[in-house]
Amino acid sequence: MDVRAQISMVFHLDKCIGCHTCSIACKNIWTDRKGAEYQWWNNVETKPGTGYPTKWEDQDIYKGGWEKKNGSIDLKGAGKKKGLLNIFHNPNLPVIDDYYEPFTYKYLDLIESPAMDDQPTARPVSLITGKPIDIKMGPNWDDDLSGTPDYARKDPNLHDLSPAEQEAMFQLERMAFFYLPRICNHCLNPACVASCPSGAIYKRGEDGIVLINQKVCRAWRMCVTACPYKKSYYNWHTGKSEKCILCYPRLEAGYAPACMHSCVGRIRYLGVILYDAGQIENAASDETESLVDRQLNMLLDPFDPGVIEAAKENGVADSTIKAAQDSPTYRFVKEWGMALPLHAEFRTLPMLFYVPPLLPVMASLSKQDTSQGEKMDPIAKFWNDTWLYDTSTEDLWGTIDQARFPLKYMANLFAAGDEEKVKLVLKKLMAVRIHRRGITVGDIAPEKVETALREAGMDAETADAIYKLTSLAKFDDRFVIPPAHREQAIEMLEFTGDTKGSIGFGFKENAERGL
Amino acid sequence: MGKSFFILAFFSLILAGQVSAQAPSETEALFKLKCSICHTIGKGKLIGPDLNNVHQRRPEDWLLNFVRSSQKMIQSGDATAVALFEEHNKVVMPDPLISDAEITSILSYIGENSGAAVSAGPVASIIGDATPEDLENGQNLFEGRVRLTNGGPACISCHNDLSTAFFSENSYSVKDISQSFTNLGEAGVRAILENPPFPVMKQAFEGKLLEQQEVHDLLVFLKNSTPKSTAQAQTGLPSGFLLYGVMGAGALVLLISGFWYSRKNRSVNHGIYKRQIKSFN
Ligand code: SF4
Ligand code: SF4
Repeated sequence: MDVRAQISMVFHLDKCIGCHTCSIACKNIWTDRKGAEYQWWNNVETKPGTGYPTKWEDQDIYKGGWEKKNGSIDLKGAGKKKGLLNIFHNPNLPVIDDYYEPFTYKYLDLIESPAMDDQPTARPVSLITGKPIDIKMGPNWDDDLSGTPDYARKDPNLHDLSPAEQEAMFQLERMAFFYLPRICNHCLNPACVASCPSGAIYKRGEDGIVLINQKVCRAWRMCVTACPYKKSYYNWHTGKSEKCILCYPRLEAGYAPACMHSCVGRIRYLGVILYDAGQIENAASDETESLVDRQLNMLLDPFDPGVIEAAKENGVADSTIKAAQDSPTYRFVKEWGMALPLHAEFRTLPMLFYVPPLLPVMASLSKQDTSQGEKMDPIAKFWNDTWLYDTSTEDLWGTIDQARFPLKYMANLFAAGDEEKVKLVLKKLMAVRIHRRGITVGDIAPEKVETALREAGMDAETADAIYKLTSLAKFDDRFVIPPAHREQAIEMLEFTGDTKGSIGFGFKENAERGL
Repeated sequence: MGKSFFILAFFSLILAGQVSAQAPSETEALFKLKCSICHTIGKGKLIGPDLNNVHQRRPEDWLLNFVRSSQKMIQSGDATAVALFEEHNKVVMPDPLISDAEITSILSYIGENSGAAVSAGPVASIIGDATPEDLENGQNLFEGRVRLTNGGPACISCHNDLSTAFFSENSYSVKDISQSFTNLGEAGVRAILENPPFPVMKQAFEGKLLEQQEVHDLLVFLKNSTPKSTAQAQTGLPSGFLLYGVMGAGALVLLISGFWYSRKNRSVNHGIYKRQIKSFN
């Protein structure tokens, strides 16, 4: 057992309000620079939709990720042979128009304009050429545009839904959407790392953060092609590729990453998960249906004495093991089995997990009743009509089975196509709601609550714990950040005695003093 | 003072007499020196044309001008001069650098010695008996591996096809003499070797003329080296060159586009952008 520590993330999609605060926080800190304007290390996209860059999930176009080959895996569009053959033109690289041409407005024209008959206008200018442009697209151009032919209906995840199912999904009365915030997944089997011809990308040993060494990067852009999530970006100004760094300078100081810290919906969780690195290759090269299970099986119980011992042997710090035991992500992913990886079929073993959204599934239109009548039950505070949102719990899992969204769509996103897996998670989410409603509203019979919990495979205690971590969690519950121990990490590379008496410690550039 | 003036006047007189009054024998010598390397009077064509009755073929003025500087006449576009130049393989006739009086006397000398054309049999070849040793020796002499007996410079010091620095515009020398045999024939080359007419070459071999054996060996070498000329004369593009080029390029384009057929060649947003109304192009 090769136990390693990984800082992993969980995004609870039911809570995301699509405010893009996370994207702005990230942009302000990291990508508000020349050449990086078009990069959104954190972006929020509307699903169904084509996302950013457009259709990033369609690997027939972008050739990202791994594919199964002779019992093992091979990069789809990069790697040794393919990479060498295509190294000088990188045929599947996204172009700027696949993202969007970044722009700003000439605001100064509004202020400096002389008095005129007409109001001055601020023309849009390209942040690449500096010249006036027609704005063609933005990073969230299809925000909330579910149902549109150009965006929602071209969502690559619809590929194996029947035309009838797709049509039903986009009926006006049933139309629904949810938000999918994305950052780099800091994968266990990162395609970006494997594709880099310069060896510039590495996965940090102590916390698994995937980073690009800016001094070694030689602008081959193979990582841009290889990352199936399109989370490695090329900076045309510096000539280096860049990606989400999970705010490692903040993590090392004990702060949560900026996107997580600022998240309005408090949907984000971060914590350490211990995993068995020895299983990576086998897990990543298994059949598509078993990919999610194999990945979850790699994640180890941090309370298991055997795991702890092996972790210590591998140099995982005690404080990190403690953080793993307190980890909210471990609970969501492993203990409760409520979070699933995004597009496991890309085989990069992503370590950002999503709790699938219940709402677009749950509320359904079962019966038209034009008489409307008394809509709100004055005591129980639930909709007593069935003309719009049917959230009734008459028939326990009925709403999931006749969901507004075909489960297949959710399964394509979060379970490599396995509807049962998504259904199980949704049942758990539902069971917690039924349980809490039984307590707070009291309109559900205890037997019924019990049945719901039993069928979802949990007890009342677990349901309460889930409820607490979902709804009431404080900052320190959501983010359990292990101490960075940079002082130990540096000792693996350098003799610290050399710099004794000089300023600072850890992996820092020497301070520049004087002229 | 008087004495030195007298001596000076005396020599001046002698010199003046020499120039103005050319004795026939002196003119003959001059003809031999300047002309006979390339020309005969009634004995057939050598490098240049037979001069028999030349004074009847061309007007006196024309002859005077041509001998003074044939190249100037060719450059000025004189039709006869150009035709002659073309006819004689574009071998440049060096300016003799003699006075007009001398030219006139040579011309009258030619007139005096002209007569009915004498049948001119080809000049006998002297290299029919060449052996491989002669060839090798010729090459060694040419390349300067073996010194010329009378101390003349090795051929290669000028005829190396490498440097232009040595040659002035008026020297009429050629760096590449690989075609000399083709152009001049054995008699012509032999005449040049035995008595160099070209100003620079003449200067270089002043009093250091080649021995007969050396002339022989060098002739053998030059004859043999002619077809082996490294600098092949350009003969124009081979037929179909352009066609094959275009076809080859087309084949390459096809191959490459076949090989990368499934590449992503336009933005996935192309369709959307195309529809959008544009205020710029
Ligand atoms: S999401 Fe992409 S960039 Fe991030 S680690 Fe995985 S392969 Fe690399
Ligand atoms: S800040 Fe949070 S709630 Fe807002 S879009 Fe980002 S992830 Fe969603």
